[in-house]
Amino acid sequence: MSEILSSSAAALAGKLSAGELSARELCQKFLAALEADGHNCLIGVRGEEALAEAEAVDAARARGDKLPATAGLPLVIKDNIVLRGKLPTTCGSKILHNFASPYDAHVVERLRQAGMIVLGKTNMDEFAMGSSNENSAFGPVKGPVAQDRVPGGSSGGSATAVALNLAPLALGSDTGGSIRQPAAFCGVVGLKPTYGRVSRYGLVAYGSSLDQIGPLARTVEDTALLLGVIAGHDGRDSTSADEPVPDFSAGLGKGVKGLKVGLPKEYFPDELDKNVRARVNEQVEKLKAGGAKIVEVSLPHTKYAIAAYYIVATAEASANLARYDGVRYGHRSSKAGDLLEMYRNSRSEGFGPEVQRRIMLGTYVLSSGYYDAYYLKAQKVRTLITRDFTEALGQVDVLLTPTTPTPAFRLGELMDDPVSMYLQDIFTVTINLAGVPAVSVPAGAVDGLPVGAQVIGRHFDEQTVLRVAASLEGDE
Amino acid sequence: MAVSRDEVARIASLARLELGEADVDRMTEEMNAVLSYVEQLNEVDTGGVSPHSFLEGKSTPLQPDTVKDFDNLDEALAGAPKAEGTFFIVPRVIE
Repeated sequence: MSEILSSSAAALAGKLSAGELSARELCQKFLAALEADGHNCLIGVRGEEALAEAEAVDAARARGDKLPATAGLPLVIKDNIVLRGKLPTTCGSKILHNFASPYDAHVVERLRQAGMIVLGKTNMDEFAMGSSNENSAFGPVKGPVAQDRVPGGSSGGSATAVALNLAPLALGSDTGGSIRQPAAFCGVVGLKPTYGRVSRYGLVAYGSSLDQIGPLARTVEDTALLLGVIAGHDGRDSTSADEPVPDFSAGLGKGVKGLKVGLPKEYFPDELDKNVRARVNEQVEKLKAGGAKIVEVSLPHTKYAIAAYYIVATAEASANLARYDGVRYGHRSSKAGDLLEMYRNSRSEGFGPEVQRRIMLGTYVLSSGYYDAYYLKAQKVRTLITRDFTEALGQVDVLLTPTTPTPAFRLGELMDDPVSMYLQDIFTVTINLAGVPAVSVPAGAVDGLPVGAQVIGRHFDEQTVLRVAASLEGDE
Repeated sequence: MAVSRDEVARIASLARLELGEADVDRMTEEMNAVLSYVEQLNEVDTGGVSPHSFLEGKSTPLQPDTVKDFDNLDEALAGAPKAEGTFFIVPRVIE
């Protein structure tokens, strides 16, 4: 049984299509593992519905229907991706604790077309705001490696479920590092696709110019597989790119010979944790041994990224979260004497402290008299950060950096210090600001705590990013 | 540029958040910590730089302006805190 749970999605897909394993049997095993788990990675489980879908796949296979290679594969998805049915989409928030979506997200439609089975919705920082998964209204997720360490955030439940073999695959969302940072902390692979690669239709919006849905898995091959399922144009998201979707696994196993890999010097500052540096340097040696050319490059505006990010992201959040007003769905306060009182009490009772803090910051930077000084300035700095990447990626095929400045920190360690918590995202937010794709891949451990290496590529070149990531994984 | 307690209270009102006295104190402190951190953006020379990093070389896609009905009104209304027929009920707006 444990051999099944620890199998890669690709291996499970082979067993399913060969008839060695039924979809129902597979779902049951993972559902039992999820039910027995004590890490709080799920907010909601789909029991009967998931099993009924698995049975339908088995029945179709028995009839001899032509099925996608992924048919019957189970996965878990982050609870900010809407899925039609009774199970609520809470976004980790009290304000949506009872919100049952009347429609499916684009990625959920894609999963259904691929015959994949959603087993449950994963725990997350409320509205995807956080780097530790401690901001969930449903309690923190305990890290998979050590229970007193955070799993990272905001897709902490997704990363933990994959790390603990509770699901072979997961979807997360990444606004400033929310897939890659928990992937690094949990020792799994996590990819943020190019902005526009995956439709955001049905993803609860946080920072609309930064948000992207992406896969988490235990292997690069599985990551490529799931990206292939969810990528592609969708007219319901005006930022969804009408770009051809290649076979993301085409470059896997081809090695890195002849590729140029840039090491941005700003991502290896003197104060970088020396053990993290050592692990990433080992990856650099692997690439050299594989025949890649390593060059130092510069992304000179890196130090301004966190400041620009927290202005842009909170501004967009304050606008996106204005819709939670207690009128049409979600929590409505019982103290609702008049309309204004209803809005204010519903929102203050429903949103947690970090969400309120970001709404306040965002409202402030957009407010009359401050817009130019903060928001417009941040957007201009963002343009400079984007140009840094365009320039660097004009000289090299990919960039390699640490995913995070340190391994997983302790639960509670940074909760009272928002600026230090925000600085956790220093190596990941730049990528969202520039809209380029990046993957975090396991790069060994420090004192038993996983470290991630981040491979960053050109817009819409996930293929090369995954090719390089695949050459880094395994054989420590 | 430090934000004052009064300013925080005004922003809370714009954001439709109900903050108690203690919340306003805490929020003022936290917002000032973040705002003093972002001050460093002033070091960057952004003269002549466009604020639209995404629009370099791209256009906004258009789609036909046609009405598409949402086919699942029942479930959409079922989630309303208070609904009657196809209406959402809120406290009286005009006395």
